[in-house]
Amino acid sequence: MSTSFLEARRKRLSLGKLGAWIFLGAMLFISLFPVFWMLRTALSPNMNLFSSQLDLFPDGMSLNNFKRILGFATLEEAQAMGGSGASLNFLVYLWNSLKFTGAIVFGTVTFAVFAGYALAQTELPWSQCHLLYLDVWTTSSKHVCHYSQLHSYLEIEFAQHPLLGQSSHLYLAHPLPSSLCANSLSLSLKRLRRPQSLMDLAYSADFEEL
Amino acid sequence: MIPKSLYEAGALDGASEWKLFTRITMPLLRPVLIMVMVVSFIGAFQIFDTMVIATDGGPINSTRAINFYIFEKAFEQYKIGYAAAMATLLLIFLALFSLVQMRIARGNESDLSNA
Repeated sequence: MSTSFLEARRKRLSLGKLGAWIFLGAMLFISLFPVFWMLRTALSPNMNLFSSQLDLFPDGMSLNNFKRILGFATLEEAQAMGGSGASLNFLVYLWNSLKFTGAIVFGTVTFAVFAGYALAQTELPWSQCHLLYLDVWTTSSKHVCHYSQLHSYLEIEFAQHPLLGQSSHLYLAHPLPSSLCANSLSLSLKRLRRPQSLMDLAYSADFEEL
Repeated sequence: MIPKSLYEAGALDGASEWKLFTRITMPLLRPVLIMVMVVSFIGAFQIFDTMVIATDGGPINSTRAINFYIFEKAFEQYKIGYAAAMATLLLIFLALFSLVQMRIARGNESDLSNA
């Protein structure tokens, strides 16, 4: 009986459900419209882009932009499309991105494994959440630095320093304060975590005796 | 969550700490690791601010990544058609790459469930 009741409720259209669907539809539209616009722009010839800025669909649809990027178009074709004929190095820059990404992924996965291993070995209550705290602290402290204009202030301060080089002030102004801020926050968080129960106290007493 | 019993069994069989790590933790963490890999792969492709601040693409374009190039094409040289086409190709590339990563490493199935 309960399933048929649920089914009946599922089929019935209520105002709240209608609202939820409208909200979902709007969210979907907001997320997907830029992608559609990108496709529409990619498929329009460069020449027509400024004359038909608000057209919903490409004006004179063609794949010429893709041909040009992948290097299949000749110089004459490129210039006929309104291009300069200058070289486009899509693959070179894609390769640059790939090199960088490879290094980042290698580092992230390696350190994530070790951090995960360490975390999995601990018996702390809520141990899953500690990683989340750490992540939230590090990211939010970065934003604190950002919005308080600490970066710009430090950058100007250090750039005028006679002993520091051309680019060292960038390090001192950007990554350093963020990481200091993040570290101090996570340290203070650690200190805040006092033994919560008598059981915890008993455990710590045990360890001290050992 | 990796069951403690597996580690106990491994330790009883005389496996070292490193063996436990490579033979139990790593394989059983695989779905999570693949998730981390795919997400950090897509995330790392979005590098922009660091590059612009630190090197501005130089020396000789060696630190110019693809999305910085797309940005320059679109909003500095106003070749919006080319930029959109490159962004579309990048979207397709990333989608394919993520799919391949998930497929090759069987990222959506865990070895724990059929143990």
